[in-house]
Amino acid sequence: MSRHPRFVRHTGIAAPFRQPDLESEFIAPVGEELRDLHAVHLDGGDVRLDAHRHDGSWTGRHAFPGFRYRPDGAEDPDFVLNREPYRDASILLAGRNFGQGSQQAFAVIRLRQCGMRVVIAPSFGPVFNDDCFDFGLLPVTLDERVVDELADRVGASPGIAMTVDLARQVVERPGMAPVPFRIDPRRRSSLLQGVDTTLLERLEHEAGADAMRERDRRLRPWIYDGPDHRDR
Amino acid sequence: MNRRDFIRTSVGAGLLVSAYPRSLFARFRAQERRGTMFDKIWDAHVVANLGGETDLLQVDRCIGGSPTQVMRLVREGVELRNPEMFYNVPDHTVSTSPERYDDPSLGWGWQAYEELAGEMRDMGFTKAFGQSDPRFGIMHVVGPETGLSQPGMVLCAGDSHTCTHGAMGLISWGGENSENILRTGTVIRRRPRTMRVNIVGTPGPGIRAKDVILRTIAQLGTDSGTGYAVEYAGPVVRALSQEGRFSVCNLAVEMASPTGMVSPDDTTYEYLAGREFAPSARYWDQAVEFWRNLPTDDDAVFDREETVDMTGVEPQVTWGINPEHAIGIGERIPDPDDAPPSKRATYRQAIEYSRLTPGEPILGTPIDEVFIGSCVESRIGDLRAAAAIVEGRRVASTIASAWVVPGSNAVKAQAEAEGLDRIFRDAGFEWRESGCSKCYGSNGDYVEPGHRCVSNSNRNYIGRQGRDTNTILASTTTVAASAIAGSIADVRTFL
Repeated sequence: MSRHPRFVRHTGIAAPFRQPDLESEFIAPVGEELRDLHAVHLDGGDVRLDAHRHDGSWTGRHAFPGFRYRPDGAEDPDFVLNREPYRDASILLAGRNFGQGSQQAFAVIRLRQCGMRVVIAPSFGPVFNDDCFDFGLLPVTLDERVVDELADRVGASPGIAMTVDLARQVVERPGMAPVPFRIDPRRRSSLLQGVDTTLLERLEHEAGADAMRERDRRLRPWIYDGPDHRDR
Repeated sequence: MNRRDFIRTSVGAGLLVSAYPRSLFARFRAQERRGTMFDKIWDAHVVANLGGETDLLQVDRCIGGSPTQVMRLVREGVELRNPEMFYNVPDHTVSTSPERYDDPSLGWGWQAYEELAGEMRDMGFTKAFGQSDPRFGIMHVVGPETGLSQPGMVLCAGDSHTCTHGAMGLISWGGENSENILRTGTVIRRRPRTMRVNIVGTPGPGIRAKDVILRTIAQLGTDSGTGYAVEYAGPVVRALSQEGRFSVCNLAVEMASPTGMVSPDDTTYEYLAGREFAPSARYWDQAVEFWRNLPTDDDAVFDREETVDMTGVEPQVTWGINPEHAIGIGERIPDPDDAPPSKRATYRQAIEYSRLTPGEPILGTPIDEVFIGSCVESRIGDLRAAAAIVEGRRVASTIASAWVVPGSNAVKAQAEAEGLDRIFRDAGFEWRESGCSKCYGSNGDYVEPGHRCVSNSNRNYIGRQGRDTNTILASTTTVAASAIAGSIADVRTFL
């Protein structure tokens, strides 16, 4: 119970893609995902997060398909993740309000499937931000100016790897002072331990919650008073 | 001894009480709370303080627990709690085509949903409403309309516009993963600060709730609600219908507050009475008496107060790429060079994307598509108001697509009983089935690339309604008037 992805530290190539207010829909079109709902979420059981490297073959889907491919299906050479060395990027430098919208879990899963481990942005859509932790994609929130500076440095020398250290809460790159970041301590501890500590914390208070609900049933019987109950 | 064991001892508990008196003491005084509505409801739901400003809260309603999620957890052997608190509608993914019931290629996965929802209902999760259920519709229309959303509740969901429900006088927010709520019936949440937005003045003709909230966001900014739960108050809000209050709270998240609220009053109770999941006659009086203690007390103190004056404000339309970019219908498209320095870059991007010309009037801007629907204004009162504008008129021949998408199957049935569908059809609109539709273009309903759409929805972000599309947000009646004119129109000339 309470399995949770683990994340301690990651080093990889960072790619700048700074479009603000990018909807989760443009990361993973929900239509494509739901056509395979059974395959992805039920019959297969676990969501495949390592799809691109499994047996050396690609079993997942690329994120940002609308940006990555032209209408005729060919790769768009202007899109950053289609260019070297960003093809192998595992850290995304994104724009403000990244991943906003309504179907963020698919977006997070796809980013993982195409190799992303970290997204650094000035702000995130709130649901996207939460879903990231559930699927082991680390969302790092930094001041817009700092993300700009990181993107400038990456642009100047794209091949130099960046390290994101969750244990020490810093982003590091050779030739640059470590950049500290803040993160919800519960989320951090869940990722570091690979255990959903927020669920454990809730279960710890289970008896109190149950007692409170029993009191509430007497105090506000009407909220438990749907037609289902009236029939009984 | 670890921290949690320590606080279970009397010494530890004493320290905890002295450190966090507000949330703990309040629990023992359930009937005599004073303060803001937000504080009263929050305090009544605290199961435990988890340190600092973070509390464990009881959840009364959750929109979530989709069939796939419930099945997966059941398969894993997880014990699920309080199924009566959940409801689920696949509103984002259905097609709104009239052929959707017969053609499985329309929308995404609705057949699988119907199949799984049956299993889910057998497990006690009785409120899984598929597209053909009379209670189906947009989740934020369905909750209040079926009486599931009631004053004094804590309601969570994944969708960001969950703030809509706050108009019933409850605390709601989006961005919540329902899985752990399915397991525990509780949620961990940091207590936000409180802000009251007092909306005053005398709104002129043609002004609807949507204009009120667009004006509010334009004045206060898209970041103004960060970290706050917002209560909308003042005479203008008091005078709004319950449906109008939903429109106002719906856009709370567009000013970055996940929670918007309006204190409940007789308008609220009248709206709720008799709905399917509303308190039954047996409990009704007791419930109303309870709810009358919820509104913010006169001497309550908010962390922040703002005032918006609606006197002289014109119908609002957006010219840019976020809801803050709203101007009066008689105003001109702003010049990025004249914008405050912090906003200049966004203004430039907005002008570039929208292909509008700074200095030109927004009135008369040509449009290609028209959309009436969404969780903002797709309720029966909204459709009546739009029908009154278009009755006896025709959608301009230059409009490629003009859709009316009722917010729910119930709204659609009511509108048809009143003959509104015929008015829209006679005027040249397409009358659709209910769902989220073109508000965000990813269920098969979308605005064509390159088109400019005037829409009564809530987001005009880049690509929101489809790739390379440009959205102009406005009230339902301004959208209806613009459909007739073929360009952005002043609804006041249609009244």
